[in-house]
Amino acid sequence: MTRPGEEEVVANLAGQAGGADGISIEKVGHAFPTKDGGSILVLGDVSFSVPNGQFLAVVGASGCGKTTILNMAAGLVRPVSGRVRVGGKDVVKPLRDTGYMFARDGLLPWRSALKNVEVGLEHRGVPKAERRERALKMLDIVGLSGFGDSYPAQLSQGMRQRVAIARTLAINPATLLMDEPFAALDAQTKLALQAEFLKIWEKDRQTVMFVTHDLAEAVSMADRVIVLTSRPGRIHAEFEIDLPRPRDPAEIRFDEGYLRQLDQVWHALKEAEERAG
Amino acid sequence: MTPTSYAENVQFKLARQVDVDKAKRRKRTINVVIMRILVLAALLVPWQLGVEAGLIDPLFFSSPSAILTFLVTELGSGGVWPHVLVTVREALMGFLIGAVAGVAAGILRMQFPLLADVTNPFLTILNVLPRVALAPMFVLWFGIGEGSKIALSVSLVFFILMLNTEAGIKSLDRELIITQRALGATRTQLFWKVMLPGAVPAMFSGMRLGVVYSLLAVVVGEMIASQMGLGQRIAFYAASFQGDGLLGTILILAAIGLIFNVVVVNVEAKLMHWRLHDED
Repeated sequence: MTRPGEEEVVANLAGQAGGADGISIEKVGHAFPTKDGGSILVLGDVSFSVPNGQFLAVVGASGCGKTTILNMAAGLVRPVSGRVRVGGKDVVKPLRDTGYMFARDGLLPWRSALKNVEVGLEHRGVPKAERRERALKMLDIVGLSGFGDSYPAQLSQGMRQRVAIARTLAINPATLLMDEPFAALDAQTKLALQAEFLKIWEKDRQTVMFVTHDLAEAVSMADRVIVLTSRPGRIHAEFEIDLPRPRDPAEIRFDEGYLRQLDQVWHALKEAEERAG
Repeated sequence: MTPTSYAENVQFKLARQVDVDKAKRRKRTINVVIMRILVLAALLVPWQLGVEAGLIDPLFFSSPSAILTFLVTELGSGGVWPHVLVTVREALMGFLIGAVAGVAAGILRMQFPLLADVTNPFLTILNVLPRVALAPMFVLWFGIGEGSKIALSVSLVFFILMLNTEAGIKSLDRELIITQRALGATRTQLFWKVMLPGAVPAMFSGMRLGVVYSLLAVVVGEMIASQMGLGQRIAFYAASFQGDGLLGTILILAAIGLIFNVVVVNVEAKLMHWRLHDED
C-alpha cells in the first residue's frame, strides 16, 4: 500500500506526462437528498485505486453505491466529497478515452448495428471511411460480421450486448467502466460473452472497473475483487485473484483454486451484509 | 435414413399446414369484403327504395342515385375541381406551416426550459381556446381569400405538432441519453443524434392527426366566409336545399382526407422501417 501523498505525486506526474494512470478513488463520500429534506449516505469514505491494466471487480449487495462509484469515474456524477481521478486527471465530465458499459445495451433503435458501433467515433469526429472500417472490424471481433445492417429489434439480447461491447471498444478506450454488463443475459450467453470479452481484454489490457453482484463473474474475470458493505458503502475486504490467464469463465468453474477464492469472497460478502444488517 | 425421412415428413406437414393457413386467411379476407359490401347495400338500398316509394323526402335527404349523378357530372365536367384545388392548397399550406412551426417550437421549448416555463400559460390558453372562434378575426386580418383559412389551420396544426414533439422528447428512454453521454456526445450531438430521431415517431402521430385537423380547419373557414373551396360549396348547397350536392361534396372531402392520411402513413412507414422490422 502506498501512502496517499506518494500516490498523488505519482498521479500528478503521470497526468503531466499525458499518460494514463488508472483510476483513483480518494476519500469519496456521497449522499442523496431524500423527500423529507434529509439525506441518505450511500458512500462513506471510500478509497482505492486501479493501476493501469488491472481488471478490478467491485461486488456488494444492491444499494452499496457501487454504481455510484462507476458513475463518478464516468463523469456522470460528481462526488459530494473526495475526488475521483482517471488517468491522473480529475473527472468532471465524460472522458474521451473512457468506455462505459451498462446492463442494458442502450442501442439506438433507429440505427443499424454498424451505425450503432460507429456512434462513439462520430462523436469524436472520426472521418466516415475510417469509422466504417473500424466498426466493421469491431463487429467482426465480437462475432457479428454480416449483421452490420441489422437493426437492434432484429437481434437477440446476446447479439445486442455484443454490439454494445463493439461500440464501447470501438472508441479504443484506455479505461473501461462496466456496470453488470452481462446481467441481462441468460446463463449460456452470459458465459459465452464473458469468455469473449476476456479474450479481447487479455490482448488490449485496458484498465477495468467492473461492478457486479455475481461473485462467480467477479472471481472468474478479475485480477482483484473489492467487497463493499451495504449502505453506506465502505470497503470491507479485498482479494487478489491469482488465477492464471488466459482464463475461460466456463472452463474455470470447477477449478479448485477458483472455487477456493470464490468461497473466500462469498464469506466476505456475507460478513459485510451481516455487519450492515 | 430414418431421421431424414422423419424430418422430411415434418417439413412436408408444416408446408401443408402453411398452405391451409394461407387459404383460411384468404377466405376470411374475401368474407370481410363481402360483408362490407352487404353493410353498404343495407344502408343504400333502403334509402334509394324509400325515396322512390315516396317514404323519404329527397329535398332533405337526396338519394344515392342523385348523389352519384352529381359526382359523375361535377367530377367529369370539372365544375368542382377549382374548389377542390383551393381547399387542398389551403389545407396543405396550413399543415406545412403549422407542422414546421410546431415541431420547431416543441424542440426549442424542450431545449430551453426557461422558454417553456415563460410561454406555458400563454400557449395553454391558446390551446384550450376553441380555435374556430378565431375564424372571424382571421377573416378581418387576412381577408376572405385563402389566407384566413390557412391561418385557422395553422392555429390547430401548430399545437398538435408542438405537443406531440414535446411528448416524444420527454418520453425518450433516459438510458439512451446516458449511454450516449458516456460515449462522449456533446449537447449538440445528443440533440441531433438522440433526441431528434427519438422524437420522430411522436411527430408522425402528430402529423397523422394534423392533416385531418388541417382539412377540418379550412373547411370550417370556408363555410364561415369564402368565395371558393369545398366548404363554401357545402354551405351553398345546404342553403339552397341541394342534398345531392351537399352529400356529394362531403364524399369528395372524405376522399381528400383519406388520401392525406395514406400519404402520411406511407412516409412514416418508409422512415420508420427500423421499427417495423420485427413484424417482417
